[in-house]
Amino acid sequence: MSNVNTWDNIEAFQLKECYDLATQYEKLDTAKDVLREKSKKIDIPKNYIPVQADATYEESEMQIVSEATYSLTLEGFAASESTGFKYSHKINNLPSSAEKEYVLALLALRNGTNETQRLDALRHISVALSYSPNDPRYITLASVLQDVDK
Amino acid sequence: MDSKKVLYFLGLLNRETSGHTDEIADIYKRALDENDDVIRLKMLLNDYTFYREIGSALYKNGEEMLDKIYAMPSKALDILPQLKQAHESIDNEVRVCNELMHSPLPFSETITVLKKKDTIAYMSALKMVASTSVYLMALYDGLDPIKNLTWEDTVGIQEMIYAVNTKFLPALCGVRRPNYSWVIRRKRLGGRALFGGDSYYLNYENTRSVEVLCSALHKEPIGTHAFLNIDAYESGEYDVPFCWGIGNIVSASPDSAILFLQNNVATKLRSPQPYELQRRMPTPFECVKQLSDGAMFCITPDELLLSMNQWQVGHEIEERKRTHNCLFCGKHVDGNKLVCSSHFTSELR
Repeated sequence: MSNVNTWDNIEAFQLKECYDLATQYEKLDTAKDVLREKSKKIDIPKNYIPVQADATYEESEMQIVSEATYSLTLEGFAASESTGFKYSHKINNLPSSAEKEYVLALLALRNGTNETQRLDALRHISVALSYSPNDPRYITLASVLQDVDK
Repeated sequence: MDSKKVLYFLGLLNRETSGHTDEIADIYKRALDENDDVIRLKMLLNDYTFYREIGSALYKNGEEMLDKIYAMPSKALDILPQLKQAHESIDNEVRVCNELMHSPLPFSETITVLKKKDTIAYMSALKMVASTSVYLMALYDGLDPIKNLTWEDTVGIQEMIYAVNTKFLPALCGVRRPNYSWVIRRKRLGGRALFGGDSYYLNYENTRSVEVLCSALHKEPIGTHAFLNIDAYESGEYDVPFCWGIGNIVSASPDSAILFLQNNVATKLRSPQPYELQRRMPTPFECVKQLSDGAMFCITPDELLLSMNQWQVGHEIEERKRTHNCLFCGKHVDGNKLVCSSHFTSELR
């Protein structure tokens, strides 16, 4: 552990958090005292969380999917193929997954709802279904896309 | 009277007189029984458990000192300093071990002496620390950090001390608490080929800002590090934090997380079945509980959002099918159609 003398580090914070939680859940009074004492010896002010120097911000897959889906909502029916979609690059860079394919299907339909786009969307939603066959959204969208020409 | 003076006088009496040996031996014994150093050493040998080679050596030395002093009362005054040294050595070791057992830092030193009556408390505290560290690791970083950890309730305290200090706590210190809190909000969806209705939206925000943002909300805890906005859940309010937290959603509490080491823990959830979609989405924690089919789980915010959206959107789809409303725009549709025909143009028609 680094900086153990100052206690101003995330390891010390996590140890204190561990002892505090353990004290809270321990039922035996004498064991509680041991745990409480361990926690007290880590002198970190209440509600203080040490800054992690190497902290980085990484967007998760569902965060990107959320942003893309909500962005489609904001565009409404005004979207068209000629105007690029802000999140295309991020979506394309996601690892292959059901949600990625679902959004790609929605993006195909964003470009229009004629036969070409519909088949493109159907291809993506089929892949999504291969990953997650019981997702009610994928099942329904596939059904809608298949029923168009009936 | 000072027991040392008594022993000195008895020694003198023993040397300068003859006879009455039994009476003198009895007075010797009583004088030794009342000597502070003898009392202290006896107490240490009786009330403490001695472990490993160093502990055994200390115990053996103390025992030998007592045997010797009682066997040779006439040499008591010569033996007493050695006896005192023996209990001071044990006292010193007790102090060191006590400090280690109450130290918050993981250690690798050997524990040689522990008070017998504290053993149960120490074992209970050690198990609780092991369990809580498993809980925090799963919460912060999923199942990877705990995959090589094991816990046996049947082992002795030495093995528990070793496991907690050289495996569990170092593993916890190797894990990094997430830097950002996740926040899920309810949003209204709609647009071209997007199912109409509500959906959930996930993003990550500065933990301090989230605390401030959510401080005044009427909330219910989801475990120890996440919360549900009760009002938003009941009213369906949009764009406010619906639920938020740090790290994963786990089925265990800190005192039961040790079970994660012996069981299969679900990290993915099944999709809700059509019959489940007849009712509105339960609370996020109930949703996860139900979709894990009773298994223990450790679910990322991403996986939670996925399940919430499956249920929320799936329920809306079921409702609109039942009431014959277009899945996209909500207008009435005839027959078994799911959407208005105007949403698609087909050259095949």
